[in-house]
Amino acid sequence: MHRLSRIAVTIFPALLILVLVFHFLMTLAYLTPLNPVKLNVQHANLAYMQPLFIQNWQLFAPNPVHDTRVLMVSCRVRNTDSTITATEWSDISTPLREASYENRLVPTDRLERLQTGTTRVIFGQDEVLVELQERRSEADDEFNKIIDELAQEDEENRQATIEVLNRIGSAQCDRLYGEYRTEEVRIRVAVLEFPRFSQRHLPNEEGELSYLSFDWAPYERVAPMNISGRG
Amino acid sequence: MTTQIYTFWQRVITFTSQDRFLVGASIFRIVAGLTILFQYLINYHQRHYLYGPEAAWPYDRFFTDLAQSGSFSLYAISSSPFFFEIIFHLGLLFTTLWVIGWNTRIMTVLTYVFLWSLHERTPILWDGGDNIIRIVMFYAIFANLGAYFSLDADKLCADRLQGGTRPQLRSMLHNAALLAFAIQLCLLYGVSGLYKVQGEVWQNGTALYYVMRADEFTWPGYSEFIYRNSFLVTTLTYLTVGFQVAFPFLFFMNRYTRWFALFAAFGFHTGIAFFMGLVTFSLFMISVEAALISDQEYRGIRRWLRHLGDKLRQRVEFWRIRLRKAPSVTSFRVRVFYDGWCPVCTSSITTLQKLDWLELLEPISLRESGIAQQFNLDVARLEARMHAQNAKITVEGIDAIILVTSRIILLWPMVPVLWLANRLGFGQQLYNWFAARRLIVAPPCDSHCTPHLSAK
Repeated sequence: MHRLSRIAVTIFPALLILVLVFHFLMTLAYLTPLNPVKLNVQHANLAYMQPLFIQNWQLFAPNPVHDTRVLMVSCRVRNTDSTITATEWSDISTPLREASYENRLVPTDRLERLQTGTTRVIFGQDEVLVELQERRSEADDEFNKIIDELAQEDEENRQATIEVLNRIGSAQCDRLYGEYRTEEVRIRVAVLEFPRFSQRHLPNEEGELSYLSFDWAPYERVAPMNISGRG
Repeated sequence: MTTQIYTFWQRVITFTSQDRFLVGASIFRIVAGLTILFQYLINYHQRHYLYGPEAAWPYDRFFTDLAQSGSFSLYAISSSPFFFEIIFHLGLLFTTLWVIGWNTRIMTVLTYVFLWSLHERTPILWDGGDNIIRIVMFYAIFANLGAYFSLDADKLCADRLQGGTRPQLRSMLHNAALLAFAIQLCLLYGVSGLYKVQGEVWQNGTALYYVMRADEFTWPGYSEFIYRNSFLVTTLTYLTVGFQVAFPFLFFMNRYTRWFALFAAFGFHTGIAFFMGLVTFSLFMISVEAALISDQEYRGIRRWLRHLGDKLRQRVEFWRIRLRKAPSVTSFRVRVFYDGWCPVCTSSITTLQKLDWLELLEPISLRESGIAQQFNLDVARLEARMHAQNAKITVEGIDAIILVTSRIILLWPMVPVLWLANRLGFGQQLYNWFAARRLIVAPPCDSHCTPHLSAK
């Protein structure tokens, strides 16, 4: 037993070093941009890293956000005389942000992240997919097929995320106009490209404002947000 | 050669067999745990909207994503609202127990599993801080996080002192886990810095302008001072990239560069918390960085803080003594006539004396012989209410309390409240009500003892 203990104590540090070296080599391979070495081990690398060690450290990189995105909602609500009216657009992002400007420790922070995170998926592009699409070859049908499948997957993900936006809108309609009154919701994203650095003294209003509107979607029942005020 | 390798390996074994960074690991547990608790509690009323079966992130999508990624979440076991409540509240409970260090090793695993489950339920909500905490929590399972500031501390200390193979192997595992913390943090900084280097606006030194001006990360009234100033924007942009790229090298170069890297990181994340509003991100990062300060360094910090505290105390004492003797201060002295037979009055006076830094109060029990005559006070009124007397006036009841409070710096915030209560008329009444019902305990008297005032 004593001999076994001594062997265990002697071997264990070596074993731990091996585990650490292996783990962090895999992590490094996972974190590097697409390169020839990574391509060779990608399958094994992803199998090891996902889901436990998924990580992304491209914080504000390579380029940070350069605009302000605001979510707006319009609701088709049923009136007391059973007619249906479409409401004006309501800005549902700014009040949440304003609450956290006043106090950094407020519940609205995560509610706002739900909006910005979802919007980021809609506007974001899968960099690997973009890179692959640039390399699309006329001759290689197999390669093109893989790209098409990935593109379709990406589009399905985007559509599913639009559904999340509609659910966020549904909860906001309930909050703004009362529960069970809304028949349909419509979301639009206002994108304000604020003045560039060389024009940094200009106010936000001088920037370029554009909208991305989605179709009317059926109202979906979502748990209430339970926040007070305009938020 | 073989002897050299053997000696080297024996040194490795000795080095790795001693628990290191135990204080840091415990501070990690507390800071990270409190931040996780904050995340649970800050959106407690919105928990159904964010994580429940009817959350904005659809339950069926959550379920499909889990199946695709091969991940798991306790929230996927059932879509019943009751089950959701159980899992959510158990997560809250286990995190609380983890913070206080009750069965720390088990609680580390449970906190990790429940946090993971919450993250998977609504994956869109989380940021880089949540990402790093998810990863280091896995490493933390193998570390000893309860050696300090925990209910387990004594038990874990006894285990360590017991000796033997198992504690030795456990120490090795703990040290490896803390090393994993360090390497993971270095990878985070290094990779983040290298990705930034590739960005155009990070290269031309304007990136921080765009980050600080976006509504999502701005702090109106403060961010403008930075993003409108080209010198600050450029300097801070380059400093950010330079710091992130250099962090791994600074961390492993020597102890001085490591201190610099860690303290710069604390400053960096405090700035991010205030200016960009990423509070939990910063707290999680700080918790991991705090784990990487050695026990000797923490002891050094404690010694330095004590020394600083002593110096500060000496300075304060010096000024206090000088102030006490100053004629401009002594002119504010007040005699306080209280009931020495009333236990509440006596303990209140004792507390007031402790707070009376400038020694402006002179408490006198009205039960002492000949007090009323000596200070020219009315016996009946003195017995009914507390009196306070300075060189010019004698006041009683609530006015006496206001006069006494005004002489104690720590109680100054109470003065306007008491003054207002008095002006509105109910202050004196309230005082009289309490004073009339105070308990009076007369001391046992022998033939030589007579009460100087009539006891109620």
